[in-house]
Amino acid sequence: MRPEPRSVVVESVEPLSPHGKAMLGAGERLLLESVQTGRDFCKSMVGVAFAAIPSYVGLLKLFLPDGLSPVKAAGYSWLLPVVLFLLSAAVFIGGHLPGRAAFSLDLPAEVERVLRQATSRRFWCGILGFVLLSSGIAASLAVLAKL
Amino acid sequence: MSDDSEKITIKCPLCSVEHEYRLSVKRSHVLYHMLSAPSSEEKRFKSFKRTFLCPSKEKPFQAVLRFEETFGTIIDRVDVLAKDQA
Repeated sequence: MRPEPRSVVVESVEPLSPHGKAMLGAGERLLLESVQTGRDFCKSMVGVAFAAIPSYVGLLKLFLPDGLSPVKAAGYSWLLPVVLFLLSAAVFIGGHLPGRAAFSLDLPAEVERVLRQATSRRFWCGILGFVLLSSGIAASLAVLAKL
Repeated sequence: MSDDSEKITIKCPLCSVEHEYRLSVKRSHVLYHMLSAPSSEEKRFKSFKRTFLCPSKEKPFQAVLRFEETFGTIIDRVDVLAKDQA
């Protein structure tokens, strides 16, 4: 009977090359910073979303003719940008808050799963918050253009 | 696509002791290979450079692994499994 050929053969073994070391270091940094980058983005965007509300109200006041209420000038649609800014701020806060997860450091697969969840949550919070903020800016421009 | 796990033993370049590792090998079954005659096929090999961790020194080293692609299959991906996955 012919012996079953080995499907894997170790061709060469060597200490990590300088390129490999640099790649490993870059991967490590990327892995550690992936959560922090999303968190920092959400943190700074919370301030932007909240600051957009008084800016919008200030501009509205500037554009409104004297003695006219915003409801009379633009209907209740003038509130839409405020709601969108608030929703966007809420989503960014959701992305900034620390997650609740218990994991063992002895199990790298579990750490990887938690890390992937945290990165994914912050990424989607960032995207959703940014879409809401952009919609709020577009809505506020539409309201101001109507005046 | 199939996902097999294979065991290899590597003589560590850092501590000169043999360590055992598990690999996850993803293979695809290819139709055009299935249609050709097995005898006319030349042996095909694919090499992958992967990083391994020496358990005694806790430092990484690299090894080039050569896989033989059997008739009707190609190797898509090779991953070194972590100890708790092995």
